[in-house]
Amino acid sequence: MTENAAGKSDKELVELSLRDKDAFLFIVKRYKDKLYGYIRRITDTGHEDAEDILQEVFIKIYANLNDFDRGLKFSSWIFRIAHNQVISAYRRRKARPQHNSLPLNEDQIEGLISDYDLENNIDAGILKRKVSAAISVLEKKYQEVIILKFFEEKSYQEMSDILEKPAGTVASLLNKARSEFKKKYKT
Amino acid sequence: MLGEKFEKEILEKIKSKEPTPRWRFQMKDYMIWSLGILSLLVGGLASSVLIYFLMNGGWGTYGRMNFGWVEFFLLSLPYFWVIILSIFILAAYYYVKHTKNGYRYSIPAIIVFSIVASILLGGCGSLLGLGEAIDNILGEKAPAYYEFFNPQIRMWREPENGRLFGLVTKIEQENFYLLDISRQEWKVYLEKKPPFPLEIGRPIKLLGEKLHDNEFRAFEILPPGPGQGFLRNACPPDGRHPACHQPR
Repeated sequence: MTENAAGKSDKELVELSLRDKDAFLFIVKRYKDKLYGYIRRITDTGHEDAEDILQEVFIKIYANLNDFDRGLKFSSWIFRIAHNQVISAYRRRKARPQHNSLPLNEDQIEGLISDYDLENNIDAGILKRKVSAAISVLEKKYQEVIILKFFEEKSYQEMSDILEKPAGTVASLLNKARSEFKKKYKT
Repeated sequence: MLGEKFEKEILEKIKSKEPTPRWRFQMKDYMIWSLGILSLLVGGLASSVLIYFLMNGGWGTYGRMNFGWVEFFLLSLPYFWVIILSIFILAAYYYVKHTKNGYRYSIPAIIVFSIVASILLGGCGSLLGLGEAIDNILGEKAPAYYEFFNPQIRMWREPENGRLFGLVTKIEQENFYLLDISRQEWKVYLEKKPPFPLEIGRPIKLLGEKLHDNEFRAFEILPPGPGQGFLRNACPPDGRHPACHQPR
């Protein structure tokens, strides 16, 4: 494999991977950390379980490369696969929540807090724990949208494509997630 | 976070795998679209029969029968076709939702689309006479089921209550003869001139009163509406009755 991934778009990498298996490595390199962080956040599992799930995700992505809809953003498509794979892995393994602290970025936490008009003049470590605790006790459907919006920084359209729900439903879910998160944060 | 070891493991695992060929995904898409379109078409056919029933259900005769309004409505409603239409609207919703971009549309939007499409297709089918044709075929070929489908058949098989449904078999000056679905022949006396010409073999409905066994006085003659095909079952198996040779 002599190709260089630098400067190649996701769609070009898809075409390349279909011609040459080794080129799939570029897609793995590009997305492994993002997907890993996403899986950790929405599953509340530890490193090893998240790594196992991520492996399954990439194998599924590879198997379904010919199903990639060029009208979609590639990142939305692979996040969708990750989301669906997490759901089936969770059902299969019936993973007991390990109550691991969610890997949350401080800037993103600030964004979440200010967006929801919540008091944040507390120690950063305590803030992180409070936010993590509040998110982890939300219903799954609210957790998903909050994590996608604030920690994966997805747009409404991208969230619609990832969750396979109408954009209006996503907006409505986010509104409800907002009030639920506020309640949990304050208790 | 995840190092080269993870990447190597992925490459190792996909070595023995191949991406699913594009044609399989395309075939799945075509199947879903085809089934969705088929559901809409069948829904359209059901809708055309429903429109035929609603437009020819004899709603105007309600005041001249001894039924309460609710009872008449419940007896006249073509439940079977309402259920069939509902099933195929839901089927169309399911298949549309499972197309590649179906998730972008809300449940109400897809259901409304399915209902409107069925009604439009049903309207076109009705104009082409499909509703009547389906009703006639079902009545003729599936009489046991049809009697269950069309509650009006029972309603119009009550000469004691002044309601009769049958084929005209013979025409005389002041009266005519009618073969009902039980293969009983009635002599029918006319109170007034029929609203349309009577023809041998033509199905009609009568409102009136039973005089004796096999004699009926008709106050009103009505077009047959749904159930005409069912009347063909009044014909004897050898088909020798003159009313049974007439063109439909």
